[in-house]
Amino acid sequence: MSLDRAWDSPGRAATLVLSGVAALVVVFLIVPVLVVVPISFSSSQYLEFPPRGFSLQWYERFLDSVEWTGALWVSVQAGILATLLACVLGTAAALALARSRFPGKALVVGFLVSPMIVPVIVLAIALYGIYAKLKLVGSLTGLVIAHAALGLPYVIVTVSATLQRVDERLEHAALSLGATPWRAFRHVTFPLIRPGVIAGALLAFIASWDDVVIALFISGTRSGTLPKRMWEGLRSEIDPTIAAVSTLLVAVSLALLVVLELLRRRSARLTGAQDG
Amino acid sequence: MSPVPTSPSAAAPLRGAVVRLDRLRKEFGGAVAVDDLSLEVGSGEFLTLLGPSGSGKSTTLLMIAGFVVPTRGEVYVGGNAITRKPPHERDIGIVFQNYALFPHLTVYDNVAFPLRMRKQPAARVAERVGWALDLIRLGGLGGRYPHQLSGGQQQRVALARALVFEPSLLLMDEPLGALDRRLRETMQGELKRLQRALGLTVICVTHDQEEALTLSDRIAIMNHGRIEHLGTPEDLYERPQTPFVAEFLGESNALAAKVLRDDGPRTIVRTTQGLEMSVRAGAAKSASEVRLAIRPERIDFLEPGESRDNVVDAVIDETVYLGDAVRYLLRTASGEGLTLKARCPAGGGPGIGDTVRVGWAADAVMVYANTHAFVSSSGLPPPAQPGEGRGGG
Ligand SMILES: Nc1ncnc2c1ncn2[C@@H]1O[C@H](COP(=O)(O)OP(=O)(O)O)[C@@H](O)[C@H]1O
Ligand SMILES: [Mg+2]
Repeated sequence: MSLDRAWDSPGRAATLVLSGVAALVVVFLIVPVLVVVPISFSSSQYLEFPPRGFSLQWYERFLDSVEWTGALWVSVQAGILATLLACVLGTAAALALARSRFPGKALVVGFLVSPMIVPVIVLAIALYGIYAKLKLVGSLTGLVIAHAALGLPYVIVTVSATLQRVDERLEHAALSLGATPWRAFRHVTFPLIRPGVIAGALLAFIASWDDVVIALFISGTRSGTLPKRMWEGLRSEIDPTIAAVSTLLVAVSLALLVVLELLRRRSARLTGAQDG
Repeated sequence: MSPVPTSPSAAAPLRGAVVRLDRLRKEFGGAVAVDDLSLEVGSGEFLTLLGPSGSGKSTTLLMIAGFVVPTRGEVYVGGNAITRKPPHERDIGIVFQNYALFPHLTVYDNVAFPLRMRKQPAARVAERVGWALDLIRLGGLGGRYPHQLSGGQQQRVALARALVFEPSLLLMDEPLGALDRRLRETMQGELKRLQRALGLTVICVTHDQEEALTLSDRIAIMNHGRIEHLGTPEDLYERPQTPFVAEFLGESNALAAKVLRDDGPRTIVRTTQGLEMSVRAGAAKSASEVRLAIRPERIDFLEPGESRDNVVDAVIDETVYLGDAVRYLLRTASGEGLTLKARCPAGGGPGIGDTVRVGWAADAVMVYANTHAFVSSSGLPPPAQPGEGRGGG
């Protein structure tokens, strides 16, 4: 026993240091958010911390401004449409990659997942070049396609991971029982990979919702997203409306992450039950 | 045993289709998995493909099911060529290895699945699923999910699901492999009962010879993508056509020998170790090299004064207690290793190191021309010539 403890203590010290570092990282990441949220409820006319009193005036101003609500509407539209597109294409790609063998498969995987690895600014510049030729700059269509490319890797990764746990024999069984390939997918494969598709969808939506770089390049003045509008707002009129919008953005992202975690737990519980 | 409920749709039991494979071949990038295999399975027949792993059993089954496209050759079911039909149009029931039950559907919905895919009305679905669940005696469990069932129950649900749409052919891949021994025996009985009562044509794949012997009307022993011997279980066991079959099915002593001379109703041969024995006349040409196979249970301990066509003194190297029998590993004076299997003697038989006199009939020796490669079967010491490898793998 004593020997065990002797071995244990340096490990414990390392754990302590590690926890300390982790705590610092968390503080650095969270504090800005904690500053922004109170400011958004400030009754002052300026961005100042600590805030003076409580009011919802900045939220009111946000909702009253056509510019802000217009940007919100663009963000919501682009997010939802891009997510749908990324889900359909990503699921199809994950299926094709999991259930077939062809030369150069690794290359295709790398290509599809590249938007997650390549710096977003590179992607944005490349897209701008192409969109300029196709006259897609400033259009919602262009934004949706670009954001779908941004979300695609998340869907491919999460769906591929779920597919690995789905036995191909289940699909064979469905076919042998008279299901057409489409109905086998709809009634057997899809229900089994649904947690992966939903997780991918949430991540894809967040990717679109948070993006500022691509939006800066390819969305026009009329079709700017919320983060782009904030960027522009920061340069001209610094008022606490920005804080209110930030709080809104963070709240949505946070809510989606919570949903994701709940889904993960639920699916872990379900598969755990299946093993038992 | 309760009577099998007959299909409500037909007064007579289902009628299994005749299945014919015509020179079916599958190559994977040049490697031949199934080598021009031809086979006919009668209506209501239970045929098993038995062979070592890698011999092409699953590939054959998958070609019949439509999941593997043959390089060439045809599959006929009920007289129609189905080789180019997609799997979902074939109307073939399949019981998969590990059952492949849909984990997100209840037992009822699993069994109803093929009927719903055929767009049958709800009333008909209910009636058929009820019939199928009664068939496998799981009437009360329709609301459970697969993970709430035991292995044997899952197996039966898989069977019900494969039978509920009245397929003309049932395929099974290692159907009982995942069950423990006792359950396997129960399920074998149940499967056989259903198959007979419904008149099903069944093609089953297994590497378990006991399962094959118990269930099958006929067995096809496969090796390297070909059928080595097709026959009834008794045929295969008593009169194996090749040394591979003699060794694969049951146990046998494998010996290499040379033909010395004819001696009336016998032929005399000598093994490479120098053991001379007489075999049935006409089994082999004079002076040719042959392979011999002798079942361990056909070699007997001899009482003093007792005799056989072949008698030899041997020392017991090892004994293996099998419960209902004992396996003795013997070494003859000439150095030949022999295995003998005998019922447990009441007063305890001979032990390790004892010298015994054993003998066997000339008819007990199966003789093969030397063109076939030997394959060591599971329970035996390696054959006389250690150079020969195992077929398949
Ligand atoms: N999809 C495949 N690709 C390449 N080779 C395969 C494939 N399926 C089977 N094989 C090969 O074909 C041979 C027969 O395999 P299989 O039919 O699975 O044998 P069995 O079921 O008797 O064990 C083996 O050598 C196996 O490696
Ligand atoms: Mg196999």
